[in-house]
Amino acid sequence: MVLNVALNRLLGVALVQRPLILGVDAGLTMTKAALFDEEGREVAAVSARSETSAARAIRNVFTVATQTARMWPRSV
Amino acid sequence: MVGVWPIDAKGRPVRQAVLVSDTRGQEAIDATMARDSQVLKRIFANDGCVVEPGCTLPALRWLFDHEPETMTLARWILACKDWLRFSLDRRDRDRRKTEAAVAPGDARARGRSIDMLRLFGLDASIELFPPVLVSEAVAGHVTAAAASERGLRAGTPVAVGAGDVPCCALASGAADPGIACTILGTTLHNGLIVDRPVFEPFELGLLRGCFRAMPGSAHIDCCAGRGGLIFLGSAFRWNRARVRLDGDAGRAHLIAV
Repeated sequence: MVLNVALNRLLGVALVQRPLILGVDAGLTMTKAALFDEEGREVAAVSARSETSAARAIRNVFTVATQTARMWPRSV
Repeated sequence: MVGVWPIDAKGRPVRQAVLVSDTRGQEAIDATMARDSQVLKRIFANDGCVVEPGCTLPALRWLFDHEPETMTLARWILACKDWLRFSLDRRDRDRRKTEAAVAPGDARARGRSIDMLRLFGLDASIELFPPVLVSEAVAGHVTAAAASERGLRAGTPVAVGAGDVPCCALASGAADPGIACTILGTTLHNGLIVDRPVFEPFELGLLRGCFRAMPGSAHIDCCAGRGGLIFLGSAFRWNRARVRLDGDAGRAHLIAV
């Protein structure tokens, strides 16, 4: 789904009749897609946030840590 | 890029993928170390990388140990980039030629290693791992179904591709031996391009094979950010959301952090 969002945004600016190379990077934080011409020049690039259960778990850990810290007695 | 993307004979995922940040594979590493106290040295001497719990082999061992019924459905074990490519060209070619990266492997031979599989008790499962092909090779072409799903043109050639670290190094201009680069993403890598596999300093960092089409630039030797830095991107994103700092001020704050 994230890949489709990125590709749809990217292909909207790529309506040109020349050879292009599409690169996709599905990262833990962001999914990126970029178009390059045959000389290696970037034509367009987009990114969308990667949504993974791991990312949700990480956010939950930080949220719980924050809530715990707020509950902690100031004297400690 | 490493982790486990198990798919069945029809190319369907048999479960959610296990990402590189997953730590459940530590159980398999601990069990392997209990049998052989020198195993981490043995892996580094073969692969050039410290082994992480989210590497393919320890993570896969965990899946076999804890989800054996699910794993009986698996026909192929892929890495992330291979799954992306597979989703584009899977019906275009013989599935036996599906190719995939796996870690740890053999850095000198630039392929997978039966010795590494054996360390994690996975040598009997070698048929789950497709052959390794070079990154520059055209693996197949975008199928009609994938074209419809993704909005791409059917028949577009699909390259094997490479892992994120070599690609980032190349894109930053680090293409010749002796050039150093820093890659700041979800993980942090400080790397040096070398013309042959380097295994020093021993048991520190990562060694990644690069593109064979780049003469004299065979590998990137990385001292990777580890421990807390593995989640650098997610931590930054969480921080930005909490303190509501965006733009230049936000970036300055995060750099200070």
